[in-house]
Amino acid sequence: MRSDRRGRQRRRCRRIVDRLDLPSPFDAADFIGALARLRGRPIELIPVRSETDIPCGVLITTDRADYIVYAADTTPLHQQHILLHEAAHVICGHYETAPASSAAARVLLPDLPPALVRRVLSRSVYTEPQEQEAELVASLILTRAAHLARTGPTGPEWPRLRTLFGGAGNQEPTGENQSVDGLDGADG
Amino acid sequence: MADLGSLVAATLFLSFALYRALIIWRGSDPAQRYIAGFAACMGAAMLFRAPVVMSALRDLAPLDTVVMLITHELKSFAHVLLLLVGLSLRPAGPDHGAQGRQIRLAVVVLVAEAAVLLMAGVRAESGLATAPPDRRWFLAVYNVLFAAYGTWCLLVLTRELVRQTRQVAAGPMRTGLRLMTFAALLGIVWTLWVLTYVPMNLTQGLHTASEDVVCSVLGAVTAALATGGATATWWARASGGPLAAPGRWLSAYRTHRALEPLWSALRTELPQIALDPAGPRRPVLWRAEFDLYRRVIEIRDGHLALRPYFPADATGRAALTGTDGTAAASVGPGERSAEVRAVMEAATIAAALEGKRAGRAPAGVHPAGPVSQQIAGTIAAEVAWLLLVTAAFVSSPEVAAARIRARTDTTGLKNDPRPR
Repeated sequence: MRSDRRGRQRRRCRRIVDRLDLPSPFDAADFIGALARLRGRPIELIPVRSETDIPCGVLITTDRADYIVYAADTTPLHQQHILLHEAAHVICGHYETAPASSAAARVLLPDLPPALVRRVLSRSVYTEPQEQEAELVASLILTRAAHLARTGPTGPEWPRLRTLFGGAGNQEPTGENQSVDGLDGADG
Repeated sequence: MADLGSLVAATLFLSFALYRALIIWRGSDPAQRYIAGFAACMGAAMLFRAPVVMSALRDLAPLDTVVMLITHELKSFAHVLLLLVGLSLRPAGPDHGAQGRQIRLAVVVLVAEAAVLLMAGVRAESGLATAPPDRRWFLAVYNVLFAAYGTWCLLVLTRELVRQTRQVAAGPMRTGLRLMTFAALLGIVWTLWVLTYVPMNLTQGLHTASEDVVCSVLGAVTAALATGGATATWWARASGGPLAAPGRWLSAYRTHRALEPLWSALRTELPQIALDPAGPRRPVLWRAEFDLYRRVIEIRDGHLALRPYFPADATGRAALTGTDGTAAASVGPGERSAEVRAVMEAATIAAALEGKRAGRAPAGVHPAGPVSQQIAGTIAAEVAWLLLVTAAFVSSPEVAAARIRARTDTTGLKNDPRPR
């Protein structure tokens, strides 16, 4: 029963990730920048030194923008994963149901008035389905990016060359052509 | 030999044309039609110019002259299509004005070639084309025109392929572009080879109606390079994907198992790092790459969560000696070997785990990991590093010493609970 639920969750996350247009070479900050442009809402990345009493990644949603606060004193791959975990909350639409306050937000962004904070999601443990889903999506994004890096060429000419000499019939749509619904996936 | 070369070239070109035709079905880029058209024209020309095919056709009807005319025009038209592919590869994209001019020029050249060949009054028979004595120079003009225009088309394509090759990062596409560049250069040699017939055209009025041995071999090698280059990304996907997958899965499985001691020690003290606490410890083979990635992230999560328990002098103690016990203190912190740095990280983790297990209170301010920023941001680099750390965690005497020190320190703290 439990494994069925995990299997369904994994398949749902894979569908979401398969629809994403990943930059090549992959960079989490570039990917999140494209995501922000697609949604028409800025996403600010705020590196912090990890502390005992706060999670290593936090997504804070306000009326104006989203803030991803992440531990900067860990390895580059781990930093990318933390960033993608928080971005996955945005991709999956978790921010719509998250709680509206957090002690972590007050510690991390003390200048941000609590009244402006609409939602807060923290990467700490994976007991909540939303956290499990975000963690799975982040993991699938980076493993897919690693696969693309291994098999696919890179460079500014790549889309055109892929059309002519690759297996694709047409140039794949760019991020600007994709809808937010497309990113959100079936369970968004 | 001429038959073999011609038929190999024809098979490769026609197979590639079919492959491209299936792709065109899904696409709308005109350049794709040029590529497919080139392969179809060149493949058909090579097929009908194979001596064995010409001989078979001759048994059906005396069509040598017609076949020769058509196959020559097909090859020239293939050159035109290559020119259009080259123009479409230009940085600013296809220039429709330039394309229009080139198409008009191509029509003029094709008509002129056909007219010259007809005016030569060539009669092809038994694989040999003959022009009357007073029209031999028409045959020579035809061959010069064919060689000059074909070479021009191939030079335009070569220039664009070289430019694209320089701009594309290393990978299957660049390999493919290089192969296509070699094919275009060899194609120039193949095209210019026709000039070796000019003296015979002028003195004897003779020309081969079918492919000779040199042309058929050049054609086969060119076809192999061109089609291999144009499908390099497909081969790369096949060899880097389905074909190589079992090897990658096995490697990931072994690495996953090799990281078990470090991951297991962290997970025992910090069960919250596991995404799937009830999941099997041994990965399913076909999902081993994903599970390896998860293991790496969970180790890093554990490392981060252990920070409050890192000993204050974590970066100093273990750095004094390497895994082999040799002194490393004379080497600067930034110059320490990877092994020594791995021992430092393993010793720090081991000491922190001991501290946490013994119930030491977490520190408010804690040192950052000594090497976290020095690892490249790829899964492969992180895995390679963690394998070193795990090896040190399991077997390094320095790490064992760090554990003992941590236990002693914790015991001392318990016996003397005054704040320090």
